[in-house]
Amino acid sequence: MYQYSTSEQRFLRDRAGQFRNQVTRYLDGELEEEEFRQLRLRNGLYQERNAPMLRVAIPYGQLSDAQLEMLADIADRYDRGYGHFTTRQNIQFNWVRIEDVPDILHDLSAAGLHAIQTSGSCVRNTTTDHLAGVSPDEHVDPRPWCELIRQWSTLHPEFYWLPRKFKIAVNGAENDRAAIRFHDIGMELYLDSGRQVRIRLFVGGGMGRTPVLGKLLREDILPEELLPWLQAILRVYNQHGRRDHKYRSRIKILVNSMGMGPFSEAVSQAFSHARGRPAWQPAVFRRIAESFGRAAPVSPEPRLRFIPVRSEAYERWQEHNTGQHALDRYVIVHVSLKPHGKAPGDMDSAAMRALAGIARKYSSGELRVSHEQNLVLPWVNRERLYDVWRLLDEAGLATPNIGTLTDMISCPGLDYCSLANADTIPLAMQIQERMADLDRLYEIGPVRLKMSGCMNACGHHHAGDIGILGVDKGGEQWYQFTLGGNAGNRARIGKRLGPAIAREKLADAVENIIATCLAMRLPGETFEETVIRAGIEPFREQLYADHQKQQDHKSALSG
Amino acid sequence: MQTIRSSKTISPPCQAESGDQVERAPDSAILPLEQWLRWWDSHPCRTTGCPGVLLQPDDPLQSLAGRIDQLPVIAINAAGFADGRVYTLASTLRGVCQYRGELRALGATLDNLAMLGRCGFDAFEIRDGISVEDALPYFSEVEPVYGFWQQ
Repeated sequence: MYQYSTSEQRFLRDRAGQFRNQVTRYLDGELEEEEFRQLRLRNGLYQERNAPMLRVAIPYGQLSDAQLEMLADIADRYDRGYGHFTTRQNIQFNWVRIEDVPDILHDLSAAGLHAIQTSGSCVRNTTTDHLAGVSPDEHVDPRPWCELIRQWSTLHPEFYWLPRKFKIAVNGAENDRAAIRFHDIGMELYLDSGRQVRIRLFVGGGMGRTPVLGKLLREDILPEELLPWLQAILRVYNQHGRRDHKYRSRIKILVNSMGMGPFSEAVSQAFSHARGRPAWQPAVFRRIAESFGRAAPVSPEPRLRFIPVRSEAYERWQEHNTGQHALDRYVIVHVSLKPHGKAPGDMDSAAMRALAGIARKYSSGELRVSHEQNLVLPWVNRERLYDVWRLLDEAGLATPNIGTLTDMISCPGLDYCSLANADTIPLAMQIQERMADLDRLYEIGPVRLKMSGCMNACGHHHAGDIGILGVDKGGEQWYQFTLGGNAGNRARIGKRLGPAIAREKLADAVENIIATCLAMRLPGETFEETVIRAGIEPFREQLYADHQKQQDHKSALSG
Repeated sequence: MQTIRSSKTISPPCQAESGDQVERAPDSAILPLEQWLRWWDSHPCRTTGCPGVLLQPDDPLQSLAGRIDQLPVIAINAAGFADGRVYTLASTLRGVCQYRGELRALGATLDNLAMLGRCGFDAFEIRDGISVEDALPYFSEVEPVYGFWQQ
């Protein structure tokens, strides 16, 4: 993992000190409300429904055992003993006090953690493949590039006050696990015919109320041209993006209003005007790249000589929660944060400490946060897999449901978020309870269910096999279904199924959709493949058949 | 309103002089863009010194193309606390147009002084009610650790 130098650590402490000064001035009435709002957002501090919320950055989802322990300490010291991992590989604390935030930031800095630019209209945490560096299908390790972008964009004086938030995602593998087509800038790393690293940039993708797939801006970009291209894109956006309307100020709106041709032309001009700056610094990049070694230290303990008793529970877990590693000796372990009946992505401090201990002993001290709101142990020695399962199981972290329907993504919804229109967590839990039977879950096979409590789409519902969007209708909570979304190589925006469904019918509706799929799918077909083959019409018919019957019944009575 | 001017040769980059002590161009010598363009058109010989220009964040720089070298001062309205266009204008003037004259931020406040300075502003008319002494530490509140924007 990338280690912060002493000057980087000093920088994090200074930044915490700067925010302490801002909070003091605000509480003393020396800083205006709106200016403080802008400043606190750039330090990850939101004012939410019940309390302030602090979003801590986990740069491109890389986390060490010591950092996870620090997050557990923060949860206990300043919050209610838990945190919530987000779809952007960060963690949120939902019950902090504004007065404590400078202390929290100071404590975090000791572990190389911070909340810089985790909110506000600026370049946010760069996200990437949670299997970066360990996946067999990887062409180029994206982590050094993410770190380069992190350094470039951190407190960049020109791009600190953008029209709106700006999200960059990087993928370097055959399978896109970073949803690059759904980001303001999506970056794909690949090798050309001469095995040299080249870059493809997509621009103007996003979810939110106007879901758009990113468009190809340019390919065959040389490594040394990356930052000049990013600068050119941000420059055009910063100058021309709308600032008068919150929902029309993302770069996707600028790209659409200018047209991709003229936008691309403006960016090319800004690129050529910058004459290769910022200049490529090979030594800087080398230092970054060398910090992400591929080889993990050998497991410190002698090999166990007994063959563990194979339990059904272990077999199930191994089948569903582990993945193939780039090196044969290792296994990738997925840690499910979706135990049935709990808020997706939530983790309490005891589980954090237990997992930090497991990571230290069995995964080179390394963890990852996935955009599916799970954690990953990327370096588990094959021979220690049973031990790891036993410990995870004890800590309640071995629910064998990765990739299944109950491994769902959900934003916090009305429970916490001041933007939300509808609940998500109680409904996610309801669906999980209804679908808790593992045999049935496995029979259904892989399904990505994604739920957002409002149009801002933090739950990525547009990209789910099944997407659920909470809407408010005259004070009541209703839910809009979409089918057929995909965040990966076959990036697609889900299609709307029909009128919104009442809250009390939501879990029934999910069951109905699954039943429709099971009734017509061909042998070996996944849910996604069935939806592509059959289209959404059969699902619509089945889902609204009951509804229609009720309507008919009503009109018959009234007629 | 008081003005802080930077010296390009020392680090930290800024030193203060209160507005009264500074030899400041009279306000009439800085014209809003449209007036400035009219002045330019009506002075074909330009034997006298050219006035400075005052830019709003959404003013197009193209209209100054080819004349930027002539400007003794470019002032930019930086009163909008979160208006990022100010920063891109300044960075473009310094980095792309190679403008070397005075670049003055109008309406600067404590929390954006450092970033304005890093984008190439070298004169800062700070908001009323803020003293120069209070303002100076804000230029170096957080020393930058990554300097990609400096190149």
